[in-house]
Amino acid sequence: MRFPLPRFNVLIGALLIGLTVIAALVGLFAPPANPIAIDYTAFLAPPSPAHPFGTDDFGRDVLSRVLVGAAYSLVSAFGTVAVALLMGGTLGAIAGFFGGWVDRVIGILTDTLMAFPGLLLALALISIIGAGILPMIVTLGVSFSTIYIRVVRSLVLSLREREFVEASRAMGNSETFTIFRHILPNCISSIMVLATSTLAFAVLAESALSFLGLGVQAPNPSWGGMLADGRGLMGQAPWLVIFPGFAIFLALLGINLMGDALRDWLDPWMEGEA
Amino acid sequence: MNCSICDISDISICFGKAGVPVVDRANLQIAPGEFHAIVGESGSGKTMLARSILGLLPAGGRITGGKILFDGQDLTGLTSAAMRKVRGKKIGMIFQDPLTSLNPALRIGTQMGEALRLHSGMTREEARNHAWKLLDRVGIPDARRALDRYPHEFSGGMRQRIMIASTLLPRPQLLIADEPTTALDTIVQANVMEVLKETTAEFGISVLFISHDLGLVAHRADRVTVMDHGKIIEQGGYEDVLFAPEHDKTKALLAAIPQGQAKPEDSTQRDTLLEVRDAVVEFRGRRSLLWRKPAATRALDSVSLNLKRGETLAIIGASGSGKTTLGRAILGLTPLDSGTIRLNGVNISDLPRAEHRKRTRNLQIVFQDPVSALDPRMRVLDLVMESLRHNPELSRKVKETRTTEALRDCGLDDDLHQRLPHQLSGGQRQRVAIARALVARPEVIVLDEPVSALDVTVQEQVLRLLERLKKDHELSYIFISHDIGVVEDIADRVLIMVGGKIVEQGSAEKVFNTPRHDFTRKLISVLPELREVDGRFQLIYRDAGVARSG
Repeated sequence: MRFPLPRFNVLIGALLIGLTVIAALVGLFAPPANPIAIDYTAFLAPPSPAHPFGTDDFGRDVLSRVLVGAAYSLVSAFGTVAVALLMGGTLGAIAGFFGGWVDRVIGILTDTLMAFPGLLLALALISIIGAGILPMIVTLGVSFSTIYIRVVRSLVLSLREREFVEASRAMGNSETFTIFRHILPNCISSIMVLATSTLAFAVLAESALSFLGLGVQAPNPSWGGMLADGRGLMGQAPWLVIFPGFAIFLALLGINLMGDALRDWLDPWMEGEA
Repeated sequence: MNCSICDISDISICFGKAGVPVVDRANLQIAPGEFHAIVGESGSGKTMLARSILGLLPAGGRITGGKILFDGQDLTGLTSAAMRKVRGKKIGMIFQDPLTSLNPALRIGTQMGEALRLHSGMTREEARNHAWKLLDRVGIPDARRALDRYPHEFSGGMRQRIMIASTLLPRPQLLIADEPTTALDTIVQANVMEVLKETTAEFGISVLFISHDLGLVAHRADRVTVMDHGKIIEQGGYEDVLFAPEHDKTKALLAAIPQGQAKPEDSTQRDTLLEVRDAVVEFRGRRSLLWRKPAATRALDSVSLNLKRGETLAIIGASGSGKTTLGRAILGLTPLDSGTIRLNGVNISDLPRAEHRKRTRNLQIVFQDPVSALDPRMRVLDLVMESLRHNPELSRKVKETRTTEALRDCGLDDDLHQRLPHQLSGGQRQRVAIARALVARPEVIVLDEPVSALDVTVQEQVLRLLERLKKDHELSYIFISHDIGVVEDIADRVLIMVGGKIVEQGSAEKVFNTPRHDFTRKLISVLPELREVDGRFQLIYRDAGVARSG
């Protein structure tokens, strides 16, 4: 007997991601209150009908900030993973497929990147190209790409020896075509798993950088930034960390559930015997 | 039956909740000291039946009925703790792949001694003593030192001998061998079979031997059980099954034993299609020091051959003989270090890629392993159509029609077009691979062990398909194989390779009937043959004397 558990998971995942996206849209276009308007008459107000999630130490509406923060957080997290995937995937595939000195050069590059603490590297890069959400995405992406390079390289190394890759060469296909048509699609399941798990790290890394004032710029909210700001006041105003914390939790849960479903869906072996 | 040590009655095995049982009410008795063979195609349930004895069914498999009496004890009702005492000590098992069934991280002596000490409480020294004597018995040279070696230092055949030795070490009463020689070269296969047969007979151990190849086991077995679709369809002494088969499936399995008749020499003049001259391929190892030349091994050592139009040229060699490298070099997949390859008189060995692609459209390859040769994410139609990718003059419509034709030609219906490789059977997969070569309308197809990964009955079908395609499309084949029996019917000329060199070549008739090189003689000597002796048919080696000495 097969309980329809996977479908149930997909449903929850889709629901959570849908909610996050709606939250981001509402926050961007029709926030219940101005997320950066300072109101000293109502600072650190607990949740009430006027401010369902309460207000922060500047009297800003936490609900609106969580909604707008959804947009900033998701864009930076997905952006980071996209950059990491693109750069890591390409370099990893090249290293694995061609081997030899190309592999060695990329290997040295990866080792150097890995030896640097990720955040330190991001700090260094940002101090060169300047603060802001786009530089942050690029720098985090670069420092995250090392894992992708390693994983994709080893996947490609094993796939390269398979006979269907040989067959592709025998048909006269170019290396580029072989990589994109035959090798990368067969890496997808593993990459999906990696991508969903790095998303969670990306949200947290973003919060660390924003806390240092290098990511999302000050009055604009991001979930990670809100957590960092509210940390000191957690005793008196727990709503400052509870709501953005929950938002991160739910969004990541949704992403992970969807990632699993996507992986299964892309997996040819899931299509049973006909 | 009181005389049997293992009595399987009415056993049924199911997967999942309902569905067709993979083994359906099977009955089987094994007498002490008996060599019992279960033969059937893959999917016939033979492996499941054997595994159920040890309670080693894969996840989801359950015994739904019946009893397995071993030594007076019903094994189906045992707890897992009690079952562990039976495994290894009373019933040993040898698996198919000697490369994966030995732990690569442990020395041979450690692995063997472990099993023995676990079951008999011997000291380390006693265990080692027993182990080396047994290794010596199964023919491992320098057995004492072998105990301190690692599995990767041995060849596939040697590893399987070590497996046999280590399962025999605790002196079990029954040995289950699940296709233990399928992954091996033919000569090695015959030797391992002999060792298995002799040692178990010496110790009086019963053997339950599982194989898809009736020719391999029939003449060594006391009793033969034939299975098909989960049912036992025939059972009896080997003579009954071999000489008076009742069921069609048994007859099909018997027919699949290569009963070659080498083709007579063909004297018609044919023009040369493909010519290889003095081909050399070297594989370089690592440099020991930066300025030193890296050590090189010659995979191909001045190999020359001619392929005439409409001919099947068989290239036979053991693994490591360079036969696959030769096939790859002809396709241009492995660059030559020296020498030339001419196709229709044009030198193709050092053309730039675009030019090479254009010139070699009429040269295609079919790989050995149909599982790994097809991209698991592509559907049948796309897989075959990809072969036409470099024909920009053809419209998509034309490509599709040609693909459909090629697939039909290979016996694959249109309703299979949207299947993924894993949804096909092994034979179907190899047909897809053949269609992929055929759709490009080649003149020459290099077949790299096209049937080695297939069941014998499927082998037979694929070989017949290849023969038909050759006639219909005026093809020429280069047929690479480790098994000379496979090519006996279809080869026009045979070429034998040892250590990267061609040691013998000539018409099929000559090579099969008057082999000159030792290796060729050994190859032919281990071919089973149905021969009439004293008015009765018997399945025997062509030359038992040579086989034994090998």
